[in-house]
Amino acid sequence: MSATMDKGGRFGPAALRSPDAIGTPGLLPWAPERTGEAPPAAPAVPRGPGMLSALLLPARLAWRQLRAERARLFSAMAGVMFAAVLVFMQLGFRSALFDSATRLLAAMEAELFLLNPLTTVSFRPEPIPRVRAHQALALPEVAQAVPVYMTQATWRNPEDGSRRMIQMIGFDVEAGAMRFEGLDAIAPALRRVDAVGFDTRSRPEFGDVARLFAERGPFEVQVGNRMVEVVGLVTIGPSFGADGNLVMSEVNFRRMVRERQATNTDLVAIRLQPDADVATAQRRLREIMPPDVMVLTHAELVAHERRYWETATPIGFIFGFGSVMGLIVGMVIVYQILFSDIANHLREYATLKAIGYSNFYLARVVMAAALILAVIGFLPGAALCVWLYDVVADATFLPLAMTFERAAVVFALIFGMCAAAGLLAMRKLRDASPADMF
Amino acid sequence: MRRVLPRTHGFQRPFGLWPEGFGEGGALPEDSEGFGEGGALPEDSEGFGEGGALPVGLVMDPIKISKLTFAYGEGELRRPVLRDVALQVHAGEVVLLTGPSGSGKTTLLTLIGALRAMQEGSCRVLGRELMGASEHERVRLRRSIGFIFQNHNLLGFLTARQNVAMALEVEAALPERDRLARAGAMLAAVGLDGHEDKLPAKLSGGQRQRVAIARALVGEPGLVLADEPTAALDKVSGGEVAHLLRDMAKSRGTPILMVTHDPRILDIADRVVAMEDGRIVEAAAA
Repeated sequence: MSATMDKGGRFGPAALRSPDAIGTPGLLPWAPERTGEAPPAAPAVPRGPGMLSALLLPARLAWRQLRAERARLFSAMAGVMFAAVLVFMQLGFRSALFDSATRLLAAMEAELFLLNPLTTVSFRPEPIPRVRAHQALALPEVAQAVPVYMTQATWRNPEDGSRRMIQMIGFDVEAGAMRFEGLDAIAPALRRVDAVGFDTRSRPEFGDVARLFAERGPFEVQVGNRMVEVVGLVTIGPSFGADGNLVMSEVNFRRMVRERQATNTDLVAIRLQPDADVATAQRRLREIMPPDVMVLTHAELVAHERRYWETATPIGFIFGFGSVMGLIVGMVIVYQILFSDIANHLREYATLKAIGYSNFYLARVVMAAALILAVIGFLPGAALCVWLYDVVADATFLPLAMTFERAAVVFALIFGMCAAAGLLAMRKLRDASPADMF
Repeated sequence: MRRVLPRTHGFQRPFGLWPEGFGEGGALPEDSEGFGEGGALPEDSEGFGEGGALPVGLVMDPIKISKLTFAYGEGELRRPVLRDVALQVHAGEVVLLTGPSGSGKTTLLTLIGALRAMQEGSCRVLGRELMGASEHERVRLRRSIGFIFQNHNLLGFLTARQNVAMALEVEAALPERDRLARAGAMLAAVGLDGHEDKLPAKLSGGQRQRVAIARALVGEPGLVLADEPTAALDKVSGGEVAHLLRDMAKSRGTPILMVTHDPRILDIADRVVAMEDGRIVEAAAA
């Protein structure tokens, strides 16, 4: 047999049957010497599976298998959705706790703060000498040093007379160290004797103060043992430490909280000159301040408050634990679904093994099924939580809202949960023996 | 000098991928163990190489077994099921394996199909020695073998076409469109034109078995192993399936080793091998 080559570059009898070869023996099939054309491109050599195929084909098989059994698919979806909702709510509560707890401090406008090192949380502050505010003014980069007073007192509901603890914040209302919504409008009125501003987002147990104010204008309420006048409304919001807030001038605070020594304050908010460097000013303040105060930036102050809720109370742990429990429950559900799915299709898996599919390929099918469940369970869970956040926020006045960051975190957790369930369920694949198919 | 392969009937290669020589007269150089010039793989080739399925159709004796012994269990529970088995199956040959239950037919089939690890002896399938072959090597070899099971074992959530294409998807070397086209052509070749997009539940028993046959053959395997492929079928369907297999074997030169108790299909065999108590007791030309 002559070593004639066919169009595919193969040697053998097929080349002899080539029309080109038949008419002109000895010529290459494309006969460039006859046509003057360039030889055709070499035929594509069959390639092995690309990375994309290696991922997509098992995923497609997994999806087809999941889709074929709707009841099982919906129960798996419900399980993942349940876990997603649980984790969303737990993380939402946890975040709302921290956000609300630091909301008051976050609303402060200053760049640096002086705080007693023994103060663990803002609603229970340890006093610092008021003179530290004056000392801070010694630095040329300090524009203002505003003493802030904080305590809790009993508020008497003007509608039904019930009593409830309310957070009181006293400061120089015209210094611009606070950016509470509505404060600027009522700042002149707050300079009057026994004048207070009421936080309209306080819990309803304090009474419908906003309505009363709209109907009557300024009106008197009892706070502690003193009658004070509500002269306006601000917007702050309650926290886990305080159900409602009252703002007032520094002088009125001292009138209402007589037991406080005039020489002490709870916090000093320091506003710097516009061109001052915060880090440098913080370092210089630390150099001149005695050790009975610590100098914190705004971010450090918020982090200090947050740390209290995270570490010194069980609340942060409880919500974290709740999230973990949700993930475990979800993982068990997904594992059960995948495990029974494999168990019910052992013959099919064994058949695939028999016809040359590797364990690794089938493991990818199971993993793809787990991750598909993660996606199709997460999406409705996230949508449901957008609505639930609104419901809970309305009921608790906590700042609960869906954020992209939280959605990404929860998706990563659900994804990990389903992957772990898939890894566990894969062990069942070992029971699929291709030898049992005969 | 040339020698001509027996039992190649000169049918058209269906997809153009079958090695040169099959169906074209089969002229071979005498010193070659394979088909076509230059591409011959020595029969004693040991290497599995890397990558996907093994090249097929290049070996004169796709099955060559000697001194094969196999037992289940260990220690006192050890129960031999195959004893000193020797068997050779040639290209294009249809061999029926018969024998009473427990005679070792199925175990032999699973060993030839690389579905179990060997214990003793030699089993050379498509030129590859299975004694001592790793799991990975056995998986690769299985891609070159067509399996037909008694209970078809089709994936219930896939259509007939998708089930058949699964045999090609294992390596994904072909584009999706080509895989589906070849699956459709194979289904047409087994008489299931118009049923390609039906789920197995919508097909009759005979039709499902045809899909299983199409799945076994679509990858143009070097060897087909079948276990009672007609057991669940009525006389007409069983006869059709049996003759379909024989036609496929003859048109493609694919050897078929079939375990069966069905006397209705004895006429398709080139040879009937009888087993008893783990030994081959009779090998008769049909």
